[in-house]
Amino acid sequence: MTTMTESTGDTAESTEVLATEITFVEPLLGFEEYLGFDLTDIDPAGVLLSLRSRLDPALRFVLTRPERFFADYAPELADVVLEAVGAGDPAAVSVYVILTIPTGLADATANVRAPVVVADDTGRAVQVVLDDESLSMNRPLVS
Amino acid sequence: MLILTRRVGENVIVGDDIVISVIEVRGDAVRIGIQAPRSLSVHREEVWLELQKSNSRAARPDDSAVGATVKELLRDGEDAPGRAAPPSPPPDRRRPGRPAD
Repeated sequence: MTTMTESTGDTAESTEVLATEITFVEPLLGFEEYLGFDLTDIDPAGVLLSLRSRLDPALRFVLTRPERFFADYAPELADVVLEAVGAGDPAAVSVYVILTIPTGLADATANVRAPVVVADDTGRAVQVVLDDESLSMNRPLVS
Repeated sequence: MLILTRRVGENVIVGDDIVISVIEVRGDAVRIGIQAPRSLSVHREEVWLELQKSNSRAARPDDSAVGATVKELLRDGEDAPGRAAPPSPPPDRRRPGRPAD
């Protein structure tokens, strides 16, 4: 595996990419048979992540941590969402958004209306549709 | 389709554990409450359709498109010194086990 030098000079970061096992407690809409996934970093800094099905490894999604691109994005998660993944409070989950990447960064979009919420300790996950109708399912990563 | 008439405050029960309630009627809009064990997957139809389409388009991105995006992100990070550095992955997430993707 190629080691990339970070501009932050963070040498404490491991170059080995380890997977997080994800289990959807309710499946992604349209992908009802696929509950188990592996979440791994695509790039060493973990800007893009691969969510790959364990049932069919040819099925994968690319995710990102939304704060990397959208500084103002701070969805409030309803109690029922936290309960669904067995999390006690919002600090116990990670929020990712699913990307659609036709050709590259210029046309890549993020579904910020329906993020994927993952419990940090168990990997239990759910895709939740947020109430805020102003949030887009196709928000460009770069303007 | 089963068609029923209900008044405000009345319910319909589907199966054993889904309850649909008429909460309020105002003009031509009906406010509906739904209790369901899988309540997170209850959606307005147009949102449901849009989400299905979005997930479907997002699935299985072209490897070369993803590779190009990574390249462009790394290049942008170098060219724009004012830009915040990408966050380090939280250490707690990592567990021993499966090899890299």
